[in-house]
Formats: sequence, C-alpha cells, structure tokens
Amino acid sequence: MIRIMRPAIALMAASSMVMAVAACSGGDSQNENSTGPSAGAKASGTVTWWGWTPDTPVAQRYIAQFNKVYPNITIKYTNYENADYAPTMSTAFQTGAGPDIFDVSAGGNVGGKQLWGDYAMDLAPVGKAALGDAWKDQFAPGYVDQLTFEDKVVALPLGGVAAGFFWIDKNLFDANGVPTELKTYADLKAACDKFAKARVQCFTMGTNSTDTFSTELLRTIMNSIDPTYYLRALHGKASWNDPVFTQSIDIMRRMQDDGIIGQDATSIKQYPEANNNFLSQKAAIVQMGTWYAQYAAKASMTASMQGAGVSNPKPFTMMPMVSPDLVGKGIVPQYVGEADYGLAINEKAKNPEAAKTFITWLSATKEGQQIVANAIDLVPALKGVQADWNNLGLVSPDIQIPAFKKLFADAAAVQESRNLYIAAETGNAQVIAVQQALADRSKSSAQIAKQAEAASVDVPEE
Amino acid sequence: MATPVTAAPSKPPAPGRRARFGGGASRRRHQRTPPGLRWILPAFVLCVGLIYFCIGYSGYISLLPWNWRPNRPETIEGFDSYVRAFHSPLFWTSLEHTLVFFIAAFVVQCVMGILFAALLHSRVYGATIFKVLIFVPVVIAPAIMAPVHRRVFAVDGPINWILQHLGLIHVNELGNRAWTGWVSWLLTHLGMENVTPNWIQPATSLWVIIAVQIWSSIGMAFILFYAAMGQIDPDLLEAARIDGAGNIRALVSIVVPNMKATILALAILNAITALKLFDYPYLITAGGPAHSSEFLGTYIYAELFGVSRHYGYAATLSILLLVLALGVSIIMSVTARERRAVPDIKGRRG
Repeated sequence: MIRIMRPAIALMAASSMVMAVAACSGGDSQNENSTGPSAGAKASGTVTWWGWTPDTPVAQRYIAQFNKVYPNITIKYTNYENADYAPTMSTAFQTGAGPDIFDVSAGGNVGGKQLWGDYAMDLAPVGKAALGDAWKDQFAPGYVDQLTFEDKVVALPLGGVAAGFFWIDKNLFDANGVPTELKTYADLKAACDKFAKARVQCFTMGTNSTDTFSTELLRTIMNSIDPTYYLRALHGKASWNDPVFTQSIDIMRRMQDDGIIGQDATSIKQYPEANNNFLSQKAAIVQMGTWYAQYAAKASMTASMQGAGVSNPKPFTMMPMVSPDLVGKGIVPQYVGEADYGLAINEKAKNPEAAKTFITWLSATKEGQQIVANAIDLVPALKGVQADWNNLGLVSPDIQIPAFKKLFADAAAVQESRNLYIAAETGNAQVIAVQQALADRSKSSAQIAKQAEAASVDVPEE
Repeated sequence: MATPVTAAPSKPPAPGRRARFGGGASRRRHQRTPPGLRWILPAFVLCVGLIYFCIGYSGYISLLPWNWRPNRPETIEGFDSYVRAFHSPLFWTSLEHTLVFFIAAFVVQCVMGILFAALLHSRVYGATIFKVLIFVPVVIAPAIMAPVHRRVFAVDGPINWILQHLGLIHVNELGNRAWTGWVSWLLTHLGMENVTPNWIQPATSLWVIIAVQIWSSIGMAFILFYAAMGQIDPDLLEAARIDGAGNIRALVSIVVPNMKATILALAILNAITALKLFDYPYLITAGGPAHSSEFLGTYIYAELFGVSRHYGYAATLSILLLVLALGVSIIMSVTARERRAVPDIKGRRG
C-alpha cells in the first residue's frame, strides 16, 4: 500500500514545489512589471480618487475610457469644492482614511505638493517603468520637477495650466454691439458702459474666499506695469510695499468705480458664484485660466449652465481674450502657468497596483492623454498630444478652434510660473489686499501694500 | 446539665457608616460603590476617554511646533505658541468681535424675546401661529440658511431692493449703488462716506453675522422668557394692577425682575455661542473680508485647515477658547448664585 502510495506522494510533493515556485516567480514578475500594461491588465478592484478638479463629468469621461481598456478596475471619483479639499484631505490622512489616488498641484493652497506630498508614494519608478529611463523628458518641460517634493515624485502630471487672461461671452458682446477685442482700459470701460445699459454685469469676480483666484487680476495688473516685478517680489528681491503694488491696488479701485468690477466682488466667491454669473450669462467677462475651456463644448456647457441655475440652457460661444492694457504702458501681460495638477498615490493605498495602472494610463500613455486633451481642461502633459479640435463639439468651431489652438500653444510655452513660488502666507496676504482694495476705502493703497509686505514670506529662488 | 450553648446576642450595629453598610469586607466594598455607577459607566468612559482625552491631547499638541507635516514633532516647544497668540492682532480682533457679538446679540435677544413673550401672553389672536413663526428659525440648520442669507444681503438682494424703493439707495448708470437721503447724511457725518450698500464689507460684515444670529436664535430667547413669565405668580401682577401699574410698568418692575435667572441663563448661552461661533461666519462671510468678521472658531479653522495648517497653533487657540468658555461660564454661574442668595438673606433679615 505504502509502495503504491509512494509515487503519488512524490508527485504531489513535486507538484506542490512547482506550484510554489511558480507562485513565487509569478509574484516577482508582477512586481517587476507592475506598471506595465500586462500588470495593469491583471490589476483589478476598486480605487478611490479624490480631487478638486476635474469636474465630475470630465472625470467620468476619463474613467469610462479607462474602463474600456481595464474593465476590472473600478474608479470611484469624488469631487470637492476648492475650499473643502484641504480640510477633507487633512482629516482623512490624519485618520488613515485617505483615498487611493488624490490630486496634487505644483503650488497653491488647495492641493499644493508641499501640503500633501508627505502622504504620497514616490512615483518615479512608475514613470520609469512606463516611459523608460528618459521618462521625465516625455512630459512637458519642468512638469515632473514641479510635482517633485523633497526628491520624491509626488504625482505624475496630468496636464498644465495657464492664466492671466479673460474669458468673454461672445453672444453677449455681439448682442450689445461690443467688439470682442478690447485693447485698452478705455475700450474695456466703453464695453462695460454698454453692458450696464443692458443690465448685464461686465466683469464678475469673487473675493469672498481664501482661495487665490481673486489675486489673478492683481497679478495681471502688476505684470502690465512691470513684467518682472511679481516674481522678484515672491523671491524677496522686491518689496510688496512698492509703487507697482500700490498702483495696482489703485487701478483695481478705479475699475470698481468705473463699473468694470462689480460691487458684489467682496460678497461672492469665484466658485461657485462668479462662475455661475458667467455661465448663466449674467456677466460678460470673467477671469479664469485655460481650465475654463472645458465649458466651451456644447455638452459640457449645457451641463454647466444647468448647474449654474439656467433652466433651459442654450450654449453660448465663449472666447479667450488677452487682457486689455489696463495701465496704459502698452505692456500686454504675459500668461503665467505650470503643471496644473497630477495624480498621486496614497502611501497607504488599499489597491496600489490598480491605482498605478490608472495613473499610468491617464498620464503616461498617448491614449489616456488624448482623452485628457479632448476634455480641454488641461494642456496635455505628455509631449506630442493635442486635442482633437475638430471633434470636440465646440459651440462655434470656426472661430473657437483657431483661438483655442493659439491659447493652448501659448499656454504650453509659458515662461512665468503661476503658483509654484507663492508661499501660503503670501497668497493669503494678497487675498486680503484685494479684499481691502475693493471693500475698504478707509485704507489707502500704501497701507494695504505695507500690510501685504508684512504678512508675506519670501520663497528662495531655485 | 449541659449548658445550652447559645449564640451570644449580637451587638446592635453601631450607628454610622458600618451600620449603614453592614456585612463583610467584600460586601462593604461592594456597597461603597455608588449605586448608579454601573449605569453611568459607559457614558463616563466615553466622556473621559474621548472628550477629555481630546482636550488633553490638544493641550499637548499646543506645546509642539507642529505645522503641516504629517509626523508629530518629538520636541516640545513650550508656550511659544501661546505667546504668539497673545501677540497676534488677529487673536485680539477675533476676541473683540466675540465681545461685540455677545453684547449685541444678548441685548437684542433679551429685548425682543421679552417683548414677544409679553405680547403672546396677552391673548393675541393667532398666538400659536406667531409662536411657530418666531421659533422656526431655531430649528433650521445654519448650512441651509447661510446661502439664503448670502442672497438676502447681496448687493442686488432683497434688503437693498427694499432700501432702494424706500429712496435710501441710488443706482447709477454703471450699476453701482450708493446711499442717499438721511443714511448718506449720517454716514458722511460719521466719517464713513466710503461705506457703500455692500453688506459684506469690513464696515458691516460683522453686523450681518450678528443680525443673522439674532434672527436664528430669537425664538429660543422667546421660548425661555415665555416659560419664565408663565411661572410668575399672577397675584403679584394682580397686586401691581391694583396699585395702578400699567402694562409697561408691570413689565419693567414685576415681570423682568422675576426673570433674572432666565436672563442669566440666556447670557451664559449667548456667551458660549459667541465663543464657539463658526457656522454663520464661515458660511456667509468666510470670516472676511479682510478678517472683518473673524471669530475664534473661524480663526482656529483657518489655522488648522487653511493655507498654512498650523496644527500646534490651532490647538493653542482651541485651548485658549476652552479656558475662556470655562471662565465665562464659571463667572456667570457664580454671579447667578450670588444674585439668588442676596434676596434670601434680605428676606430673612427683613
């Protein structure tokens, strides 16, 4: 009996060993190629993704396309308002309940890498596995470095952003006989006079928040006075208590007195109110960055107009507009920009392999980046990818496509960073300065500038 | 003859503790345990374990130089952040706002609450409906009402619309609003000619918060005063009437003095509300513009979750808030006790 059993036992032992070896080698192979397509194909399960951007419909588009390739991975996206992102993330991370994937931006006080980088795993191996040794060069210049914190690649860039210009509602401009190119302050004032007669708000902006959207106009004005001043002041090479700053405050006040900036600027927020004012066609001009192009397509604009409270939305033609010369020095303010945001993986992610698969696909494959480009929310991070302009469903493709192509090309070539070097204290000081400029005339522009200087913190130049 | 062995008569238990508890040592231990302890134990553990631990932990964090990094620093900084708080203009501004808020909200709530209670005690037609209308704001969550109030106080909102139709606001051809009439005259003479009909601005944002808070809590003051008035001996009022007191005289000399305990309770409630105020300032004005409606609650939140995330400093502010709240409560409670004691002594002497 024993003799009969011996071969069977040997066979079983041998097969067990083979299976064990196979299992071990299988595991190793999966680890080595965990970011490659084959590993991605094997990854499965649910991944949570939290972000303040993109809007949920855009994220759903990304996820739907991803699931065509990786049907076994479920991505659950939660979008937070800018002001809610930091409190939510802070609490979640401190309690160990953070998401698998989260947004990280190059700078700024919402998702800045300096705020959340500690909680993210190093994605350099992921980038290298996906794109090879020269993987950083595959992305737009500087994007990976901008998302690197203390030698750790905190996030893989999804795309870039640029700001320092305006968006106009061309339908409102046309309806009121306003030319769509406003080159000088006088042009802007004349346009606003016409809008006032038609009971349309000219320029909507919201400063009733700690986010730094409201400071974009201040910066645009400063760059119209001296294009080098802002960065010099950020790095401590110029004072905020400077004639450039005080003149900018004075110009903002003049814009308010002249009916260009609405009186409600200090009682509303940029999001949602100023955004809603523009999308519901109550206001003709808003200052937003390249991310705002996403609303130019019929489908996304219809949804956004409904979100802004319009019951029967009819998409309108929105166009980017270079800032008029608000100072009279003939200087056109340059765009400012950088890597907008990237996706990071929580060091304690429950499903890191699936998370890596998603991030790699969206950031480091042409297929994924094409979806990102087509959402026209971001300047694509990966080199050689461009939006499929003819098939985006724009409201007025004939005039929008050339304008958007130029805008995105200019954005990709931007030289001055937007939020990268703004210390939290400096950003906050400028928000307060803008609020005081527009709502507290008891303070002179010199007093405001002095306060801003006292509250700001310089960031060393890299 | 065998002497029957009988148990020695036991001594009667000595009066006192032993007599009360009796029995052996273990039983004594058992009976020394307060009878309701096992019932309150879960809540006791929860309170001590959760709330007091959190307070203690906050106290510990307040001594650390912990800013925004995830790992807690090991070295204790000491009381540096307390010194920083006392040197921070924003801390004192927040306290000033708290004090102004408390005084304004308390005074208006007392006056309006007593007035409503007196009116509704005097057999007003449809009193039940009025009671409901006055009390409804108390039960509506601030998160629901804040957006409504933002709209109410908007530049083109209902309040400015009414004022415009009363001839107090002028809208120019650019759409900008300015005060006219006696309001303009008054502001000019107060040196506030730059104040525009934009309620969310440094000159007025605090008063918007106060107004909203009064609106939302006046019902509670009314209910307290209404109940307190019901406890006043009708004979007292009857005697006052016989002595010729009119409505106002009776209200001032009889009703209000008999509601001192309620007024003090309302003062304590308002003081604590003012100290921990967060929801309305955060949701309506975000503590601004330019910190003009900043309170301790919003200040702590901004330090904890805002641009800089100063965990240690936020904990310091929280501890200071706790000390303030406890101090105010103790002072008011002691004052209330003393005031209750004074009439008794006088009564005995008299």
